[in-house]
Amino acid sequence: MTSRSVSVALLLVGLAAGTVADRPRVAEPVQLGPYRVLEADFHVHSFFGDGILSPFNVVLEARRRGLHAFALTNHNQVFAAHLARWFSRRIDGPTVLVGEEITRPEIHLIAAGIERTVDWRQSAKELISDVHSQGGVVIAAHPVKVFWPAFTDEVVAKLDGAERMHPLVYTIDNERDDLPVFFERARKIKPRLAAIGSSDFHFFNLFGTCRTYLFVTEPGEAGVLDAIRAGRTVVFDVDDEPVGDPEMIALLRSSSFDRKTPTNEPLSAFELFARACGWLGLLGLVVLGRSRESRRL
Amino acid sequence: MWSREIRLMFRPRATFARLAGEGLRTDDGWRWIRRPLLLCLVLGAFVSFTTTGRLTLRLLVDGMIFWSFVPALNIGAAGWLAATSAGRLPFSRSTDLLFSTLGPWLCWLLGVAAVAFGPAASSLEFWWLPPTFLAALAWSSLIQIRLLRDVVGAGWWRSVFLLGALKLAVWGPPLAFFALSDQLEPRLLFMLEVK
Repeated sequence: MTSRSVSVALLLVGLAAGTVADRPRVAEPVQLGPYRVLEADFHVHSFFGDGILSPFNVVLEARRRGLHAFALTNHNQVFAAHLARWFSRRIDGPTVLVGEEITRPEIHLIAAGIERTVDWRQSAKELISDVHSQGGVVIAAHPVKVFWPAFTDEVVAKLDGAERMHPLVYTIDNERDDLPVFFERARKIKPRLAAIGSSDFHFFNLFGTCRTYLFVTEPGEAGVLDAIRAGRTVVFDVDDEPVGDPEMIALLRSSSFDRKTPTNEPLSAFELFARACGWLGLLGLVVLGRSRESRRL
Repeated sequence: MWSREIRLMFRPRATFARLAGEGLRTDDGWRWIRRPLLLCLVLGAFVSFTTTGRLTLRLLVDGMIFWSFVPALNIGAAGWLAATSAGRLPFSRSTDLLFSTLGPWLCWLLGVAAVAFGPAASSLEFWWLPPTFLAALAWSSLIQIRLLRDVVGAGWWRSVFLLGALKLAVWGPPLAFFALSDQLEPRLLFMLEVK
């Protein structure tokens, strides 16, 4: 048996085992009082932008990670989000909001629930008005210190939400406190501002790591947008403490609500076997030569 | 034992000399497609590993389809190289050789994929991605310069010019797409303002 045959065999075993292990997480929304609690991620990138996954696989991956709703928010474009929404409706997948990360040099804003691209060349106030005129909501994207000058009180007053949790809090020491500080300031200006947890997923195993718990009264996009506008959201901060609507936090605490973080689940032996086989097979195909050519060279 | 890609990474001159000795004018027929398919497979696997840490059919196939523009652009660049080689390299050979110079990229993709095995992604830091990306780009470019010098027979300055043209053929269209879809300008302005 040649080294290449072994590599191909390992690759196939890894692929078969990995595919078998790729089961979606069952995630029926919990009912708490008059609300259904949805898990959502409002900051997700995909192909046709700087994300690694196709819009179709973003939908499948969201379902696998137990998300009930997400907004696909490529930079300054909505094409991929329309594709994802179309696909998700076909397969009865999660609720997809057409979104855009409106990217200006001095400010990044998440627009969710829109239909057409918002031109980034407008001022922040004009951008927000444009999103609201389309029926969407506006969320401050990773409002770290460098973006604060653009978030004037007037701009903050028009926001519907602000990212209170983002993966950067786990990794970037000097920006870790920026999101809570901004959120506290914004809440003083707009008390019903929704606390948002987003993954800003481009690549790596981050999708849904930071998520928003939404308390909706009606299904679909309308229910999601209504919950954000009303500020009926909760996120769990870096210490696993709930932040957001005090009434919803009390509701969560009074229930047996069980929050799971899929990325922190320990790996089973089968999972490790699947990963190792697939990767070693691929490594073999790249670094080991075909015997005939290897002998010649 | 080692593949041509690995040999070219460490001994480009000797490896190209041996390949040249085999007669580069020979047309390999359909076999030129093997290396583009390997790149496609590695790209698909990269998508799968970095998203879930494992290889799954759904992500592998999706990655192979959506990222197939990378091998496609490289095939286009190889076609252009064959056309400019004045008959020294048929298209099949040109494609096979150009894809052989992508060893550093294949290793980079495999290395990044291996990181997905490690700690939970939420605690990962990504500072190492840009420098290693640039290292793979530089290493691959050095091998391509050798290809242009030793196989195509170009002089030093012509090799540099041809390398620039190859890079433009491969990197130009995606960059143009990002620029035309308003995804590049605001971020460039941001970097300029911060500096």
